Amino acid sequence: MNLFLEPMNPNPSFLSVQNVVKRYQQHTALSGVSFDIPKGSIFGLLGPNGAGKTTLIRIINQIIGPDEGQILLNGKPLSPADTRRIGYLPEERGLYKKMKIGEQALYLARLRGLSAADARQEVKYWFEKFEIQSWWNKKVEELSKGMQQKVQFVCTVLHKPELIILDEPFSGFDPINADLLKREILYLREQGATIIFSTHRMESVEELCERIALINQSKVVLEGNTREIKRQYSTNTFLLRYEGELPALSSAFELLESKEQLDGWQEARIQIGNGGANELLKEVIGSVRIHALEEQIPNFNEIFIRTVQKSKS
Amino acid sequence: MSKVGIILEREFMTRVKNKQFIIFTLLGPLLISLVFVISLLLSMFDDDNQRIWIDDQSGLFSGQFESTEGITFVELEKGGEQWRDSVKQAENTGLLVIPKAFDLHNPKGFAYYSSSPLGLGAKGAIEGGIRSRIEAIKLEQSGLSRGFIDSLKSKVSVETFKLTETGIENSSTGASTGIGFAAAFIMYLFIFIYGTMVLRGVVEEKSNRIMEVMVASVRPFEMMLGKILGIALVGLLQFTLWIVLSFGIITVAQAVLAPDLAQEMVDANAKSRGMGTMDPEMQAQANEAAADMGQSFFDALGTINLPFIIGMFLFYFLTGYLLYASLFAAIGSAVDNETDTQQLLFPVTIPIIIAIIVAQMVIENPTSAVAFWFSMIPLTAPIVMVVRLPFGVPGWELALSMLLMVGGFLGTTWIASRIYRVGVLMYGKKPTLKEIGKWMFYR
Repeated sequence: MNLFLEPMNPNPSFLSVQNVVKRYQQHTALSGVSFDIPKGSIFGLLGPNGAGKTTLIRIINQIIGPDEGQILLNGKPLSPADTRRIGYLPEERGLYKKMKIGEQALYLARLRGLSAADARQEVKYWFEKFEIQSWWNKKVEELSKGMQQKVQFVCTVLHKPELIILDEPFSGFDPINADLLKREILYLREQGATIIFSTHRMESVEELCERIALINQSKVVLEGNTREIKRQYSTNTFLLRYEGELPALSSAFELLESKEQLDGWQEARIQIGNGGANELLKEVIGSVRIHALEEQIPNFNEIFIRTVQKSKS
Repeated sequence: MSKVGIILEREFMTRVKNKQFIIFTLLGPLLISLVFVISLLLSMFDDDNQRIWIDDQSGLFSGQFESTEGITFVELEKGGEQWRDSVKQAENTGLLVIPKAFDLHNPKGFAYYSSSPLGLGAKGAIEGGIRSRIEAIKLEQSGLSRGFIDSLKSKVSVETFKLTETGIENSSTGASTGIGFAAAFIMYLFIFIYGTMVLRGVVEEKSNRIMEVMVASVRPFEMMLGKILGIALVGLLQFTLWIVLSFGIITVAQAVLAPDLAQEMVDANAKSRGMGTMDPEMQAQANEAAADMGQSFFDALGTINLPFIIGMFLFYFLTGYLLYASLFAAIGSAVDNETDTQQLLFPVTIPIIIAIIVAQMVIENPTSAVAFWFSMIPLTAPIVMVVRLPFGVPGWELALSMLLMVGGFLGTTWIASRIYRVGVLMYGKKPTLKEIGKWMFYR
């Protein structure tokens, strides 16, 4: 759980996105987007489809250039040589169908700047790690979708990138591979890599991310430490599961809803105005048999919806 | 190794190792040689002598039909129905029956009986023989002397000379036409085959969804360049192998099957030309002419500067291919799958087709204004200029055309790379030409 702890000394920014603007003829994809990603952290780039996430990722990958603003990697503006330091798993991902897996991985590693010898060594290491050495001479078309996903992930990380960008990484991954992916991501972070997750399925990565930026309609609408954001959006609402008759509550508490569940327990949603959970327990503990009390923490989906509604009004 | 080099290597190796490439490369020369060998064999085994018995009931045709190497004419002493039966039994033998009387102005009633069909050569010999005899009879009747008629006939032939820096050279329109058109056609095929290969490669990368992984590592321009150059090398390799293998197989086949084939073919040629002409003198004349023609063709072939033409061909192939391949790449980048390419390909293929049509006009008149202009426009120059080359092209025209060619391919490559870098990231709706045009101005 130390993932959620605020670091004592915030790491210096590894990737700094500064006031990036990208306009297309019909619309503006990014208008003045700024945020910082500390070194060695996992960063969530969240937002609905069409918010501008992929455009931003393409700018970080230097596939396209920004109209305004700049991006600093380790304090220096991005240069073509930096492709060596970045690994990218795009949302639209694939491999050459007719090419042997091993050769394909070697090819992609060499294009990222590894020498032929280094590439061979790294491909071997990762193929052994993923137990796919026997696939070396297979062609992509002979592999199942799950197998292809493994290869794609290996191709993303085998040049030991310092910054790994994963665009919708879990889409199309089966649960087993998704789990493998999560473990490998945590491992890579331990090795010092900085990781960016981009997704519109916000619940899928919130457990992994230390910081997030929420993008909506080309703007960052919310950015910061995951835990702090959650605290900020906390409504101080608790869910109480109990048996018996709930007593009348003092003015410090408001009963939002209560009903009997199918399993026989009563459930009440109570908002705490003053004090905390301990005070609530004190008031009810004499009257009912308590089964559970938990804080209702908002997930990023809810936070997103509330943020968007707030920015509208 | 630069990234362009790495891409070039992959594009080249995957295609060269492809079974289709190997089969196609080996099969091409085999087919070319096979055609050659079959015609060789046919010429060798086609010496079955055809015998034609002549039942000349009119008595006008005595001595008219001269036997040649392929056909032996036998005049029958006494005609009659019974010959038909014997002809049926005899092999390779036919019976020509010339009726007792026929209208000189509307000659009819000549009949040929045989168990096997009449060959074209033999038919020509028979008809020619009859025709010339009838003409001779008409001449006599008109009262004009043979000598007078012969003196009327004048043999005109224009000898063609090519003015060059060093003086006057004998030239042959025949040789120039042949070489020019063959070169243009090969150019047309190559630009199409390898241009399409580039297109397919780009579409494959898009439909496989590997494009975005690639452009994150490599600049789109490097990617396009690596692919185009890699496939250019495949083309050059295949072209060289075809030429070397074809020559190799043909040389071996010739040595094994018929050591003195060339001489035989010239003889046969002369004979077939001589056949069917009217009288021995004319025949001799024709033979001479044919021999002359053959001789001057080979002379002319010698005067055409083949290394120069091959060098120029390679220049125009390379620049023309680069020009079209970059356009093909741009089209490939704009679509998600191959079926969508047809409509967008149309504007690019039109200049190639116009060029091949113009090439035919240029052969008729290699120095016309059409020839000049179409060999200057970079889109048509590769095909039109190689047609003109054997006829001789002024130095400044060639230099200007080559300069425009280089400018042209740099221009289209620049345009194509602008389209390519936008197109490779576009998925979904098939863009219109107008939209593709707009991509050029994206920042």
